[in-house]
Amino acid sequence: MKSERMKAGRLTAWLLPPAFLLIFYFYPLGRVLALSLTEWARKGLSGWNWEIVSGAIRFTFYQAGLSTLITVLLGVPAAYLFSRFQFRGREFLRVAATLPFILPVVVVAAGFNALIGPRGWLNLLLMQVFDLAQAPIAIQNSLAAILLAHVFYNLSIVMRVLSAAWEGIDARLENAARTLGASPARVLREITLPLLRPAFISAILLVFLFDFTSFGVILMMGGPQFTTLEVEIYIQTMQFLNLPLAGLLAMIQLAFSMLIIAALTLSGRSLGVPTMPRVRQENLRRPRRTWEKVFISAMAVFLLTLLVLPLLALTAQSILVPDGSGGWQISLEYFRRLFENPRQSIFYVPPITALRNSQLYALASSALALGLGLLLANAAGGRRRLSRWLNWLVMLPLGTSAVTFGLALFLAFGMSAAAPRWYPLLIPLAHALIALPFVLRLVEPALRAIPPNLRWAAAALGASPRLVWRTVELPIIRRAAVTGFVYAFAISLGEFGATSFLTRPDIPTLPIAVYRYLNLPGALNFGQAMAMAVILLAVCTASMLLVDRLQLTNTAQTDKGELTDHA
Amino acid sequence: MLEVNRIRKYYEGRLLLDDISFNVAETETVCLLGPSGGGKSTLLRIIAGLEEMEGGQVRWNGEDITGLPAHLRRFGLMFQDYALFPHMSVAQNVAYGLRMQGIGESEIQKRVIEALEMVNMPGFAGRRVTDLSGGEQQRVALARALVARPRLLMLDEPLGALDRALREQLGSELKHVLDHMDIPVIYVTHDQQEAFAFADRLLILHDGRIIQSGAPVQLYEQPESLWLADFLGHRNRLAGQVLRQKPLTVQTAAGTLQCGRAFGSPRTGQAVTLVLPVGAARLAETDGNILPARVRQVQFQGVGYMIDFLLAGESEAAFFFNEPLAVDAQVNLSFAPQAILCYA
Repeated sequence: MKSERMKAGRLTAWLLPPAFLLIFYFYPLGRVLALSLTEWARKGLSGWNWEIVSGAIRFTFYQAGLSTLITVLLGVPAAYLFSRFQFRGREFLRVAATLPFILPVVVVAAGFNALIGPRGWLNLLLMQVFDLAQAPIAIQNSLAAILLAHVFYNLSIVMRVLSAAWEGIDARLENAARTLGASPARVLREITLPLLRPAFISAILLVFLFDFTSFGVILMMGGPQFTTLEVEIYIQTMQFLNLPLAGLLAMIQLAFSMLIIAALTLSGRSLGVPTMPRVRQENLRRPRRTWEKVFISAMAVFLLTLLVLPLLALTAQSILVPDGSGGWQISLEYFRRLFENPRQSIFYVPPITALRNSQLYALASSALALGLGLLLANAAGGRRRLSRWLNWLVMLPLGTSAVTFGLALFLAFGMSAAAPRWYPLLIPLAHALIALPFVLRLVEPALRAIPPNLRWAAAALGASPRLVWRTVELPIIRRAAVTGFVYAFAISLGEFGATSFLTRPDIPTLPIAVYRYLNLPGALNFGQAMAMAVILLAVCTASMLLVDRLQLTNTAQTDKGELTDHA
Repeated sequence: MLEVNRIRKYYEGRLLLDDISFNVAETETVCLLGPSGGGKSTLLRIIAGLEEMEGGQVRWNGEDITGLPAHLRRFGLMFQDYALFPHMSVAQNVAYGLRMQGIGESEIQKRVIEALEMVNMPGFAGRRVTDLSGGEQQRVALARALVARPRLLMLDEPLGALDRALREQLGSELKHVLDHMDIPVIYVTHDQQEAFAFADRLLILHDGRIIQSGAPVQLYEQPESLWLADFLGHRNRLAGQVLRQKPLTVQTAAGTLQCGRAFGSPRTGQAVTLVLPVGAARLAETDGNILPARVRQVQFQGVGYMIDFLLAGESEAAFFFNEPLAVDAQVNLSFAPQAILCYA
């Protein structure tokens, strides 16, 4: 009787996650596919607007390729800096460089807006100095702005993947080559670079994938004239309601992403050598020669300018209010106004409710993601083949862009008459699915690392499987679980792509609110957008510091798992 | 000939190497022995030119080579864990140093094959180094270090990563190779047995200093400090008090003993520690430097017996005998005075 119930319980635990994926991932995607296919059957090849499709594909590849190239070119010296040198402020720079990883796209857009936008500090300064009537720098809505934001985001990926590998190269290999007579140049060419190649390929593919699936950056930094596959899906859905075309674009998008992910997975296996140093940071040294000091200073200035200045500019815009006589004063005016509900607002509620909505969504979705992640990891139960298969299964959501997610869920559940009432539930579902791969990649290895004899010992001492789970396994993986939860929370809080399909005007999330306010005219709206972006920035920074404190993100074992969502 | 002159090295604000000086002669094998983490590997890296130091000099045949880059020194260094290049085959690894010297391809192939034969690894040339076992990796690393004909060979814990059976087998193979080389060798280890086996001369590195050097037998029989006696495996200690200075006689709870070797000039009445080497005890019928003892435990060790004794005054000691004794047997243990070490 008791064992019957236990069996049923275990079966539920086994079936729940696949059922969840089936209903909320595969079924909606199937709807998208079915929609495009029926349309295809009706219209044939000629019925589509191929100009839009090929234009979107071309520009997507073009901007992604260009962004990746620039990011890698800048990322290599940055990775070298962090993997070889010990210097003052290294830790601060390292944290600053990891921050973009987790920043919501609206915060980044707001940050660059605050720095180089029409109301940005740089333009204000130039207008003041040269007494101009108009903003001289018009980088907003240009390809340059897109590239800049992509570099901002993905530089940290190149730095992390490369510097982890670089730091991980056993210094003894290079030393061995030197004692065998290899000059420093030959050591670099024949030992270091060949050993770095897999990391290089991973970094390039990873950055390309993120640039390829980027949505928010293109929409907010590029403006209406730049349409990638993602943006085109959004436009076709939201503006023209041409759902079949949106579905076709989504399928094309998905196919390309899967190709990139397959390449990424294959490249990850190509060189399985133990290259972790015995002592962490044993390869680090202080700069000695002049060129080394110059290099470090130049890189530090560059990184601070690129990574920190936009965020400082953003914060300054949120607390500096024009005082009417051409000057500025420090004030919390914009923050205070967030609690008011002026008539001209497009919301019928004070903007600050967006923060509450976002927090509720984030709590729900991170709890859901963690629960599913634990169930999945537990179901895999350390079985190698099963867990590899499982990894593939949840990698699928990772390869699906947020926009495709949004479209699919919108198509599957958002079209019925009762749909508007569903919406608030769909958002946490979408966010949980987006966060699931990250959670699983933290939790599953931690669970697999528990030696089986611990479970056996607990069982031999009389603990039921449930008790083993509660008293042995869960406490051991608690850190990983907490980290996963915080990650999922931050991802959900900043998610823009899928949310933009599923949001209801009267229940906005914070990123949606920032986006809308940024597009409204007027100094007050701009200031309020800045204030909300600062709140998002603060919460995300706090999350990241917490994760960093938990010390789990920092090891090489998870560096490939730290894919984050930019859409 | 290698001359190391007053080397000083700080590590994380701590003085890791404090004024280290020694020479290594033409065909000599010098063992650097000391506890793990004591800076032995750092010293090797300094000699190889891979690490900077805060003071001191490295000289080769009288010439100061302190500023010479590592790749121009032609000093072979075999790393702990071997540091084989994972992206190269066995042959490519071994050939690496020869390629750096600009030697022709056919000559390289010939010498690689010779080197692999020397380490008993013929036929492994095309293998991936990541597929090799620990012992095989060790042999490839040795071949790689030797094939380039270095002027000096340094080995950093060459047997440290191997299990016990392999250690003995590869240890004797390694000794055979080293004995037939006519270059100076510096051998670093934390294992005293290994050091005794390989060294012509031992240097003991402790707390950043070379505290004693000499032939292995000399160091084993006359360690100048209690710490070193303990480190070299002398575990039998008796606390006592000096009765007489000439001849040095010490009274302990276990009995009164005459000692031949004193360190730190003990004076009459002073508290001292006696060290009794495990091989120093004989069974005696009658008088002369005797401790009465009762047999507590007998351990068969293959070549003989390690026997635990309970001495008078509740102290304990273990000695090595060729023949077993009956448990609880009451015996007299006699000691040659020059075998007993006395530390003030």
